[in-house]
Amino acid sequence: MELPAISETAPVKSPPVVRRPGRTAMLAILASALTATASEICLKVGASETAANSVFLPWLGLSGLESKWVWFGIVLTILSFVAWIRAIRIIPLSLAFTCSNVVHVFMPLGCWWILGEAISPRRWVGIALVIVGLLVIARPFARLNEKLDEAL
Amino acid sequence: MTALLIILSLVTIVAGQLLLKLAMNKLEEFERGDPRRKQVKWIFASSILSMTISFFVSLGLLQKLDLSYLFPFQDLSVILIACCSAFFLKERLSMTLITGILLITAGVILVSSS
Repeated sequence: MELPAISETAPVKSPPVVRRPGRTAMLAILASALTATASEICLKVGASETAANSVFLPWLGLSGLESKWVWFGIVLTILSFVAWIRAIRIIPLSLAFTCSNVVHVFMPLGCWWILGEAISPRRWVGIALVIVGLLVIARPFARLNEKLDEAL
Repeated sequence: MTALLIILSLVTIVAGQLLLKLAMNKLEEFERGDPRRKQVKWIFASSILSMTISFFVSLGLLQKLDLSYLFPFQDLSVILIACCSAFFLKERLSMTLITGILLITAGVILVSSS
């Protein structure tokens, strides 16, 4: 029996470039939520520090710019915004914005874990509801991810 | 005055997000070199302007009010954005998504008010 000849010059196929837009969107939302949480905490600290300094257009909170915490908050907001743009280029706004509410789980958990703040039972119920809501929308999100991954 | 500022911060954040998504949609729609791509810059700039106004109004409100008082109002933006995305951007709102939005909003109100 003759074995098929193996051509030495057979073209070597490079593995296809794996692009996972669905996963990218999910990671972008997560990054955006984490930076937004940090930013919100920095802004609150900065705003409280400078609350007494408001002279010019007090309702705009411009005196907050005197605090370094507000500037940290602004940098984090920009980072969060860049990640957010990455996400909404890929998935619908209604889905992305709803998923971004994971920030309400991160914020109290972060305060509990890092700052040792107590979480009341009512707040735990709220966190659980947000998680359930996120799990409910995880299904359409996963379906959309599959569609996006198949399309490429 | 506080109520007006809360409404202003809500309207500007919703408008900003919608304009940003519109800009991203147009960016995908028009190919590189298409003259219509210029309008994307303006839509993007309007979205940044709208979100900047919302940022400073919210900062001003944070100086006067507790975060826990302010958050439930800000969370109305989830419902508003979902409705406006369906209306203006023709996005499809499935029953699953609506259920998720309502659960999350209820949860966020509980988190913020406790």
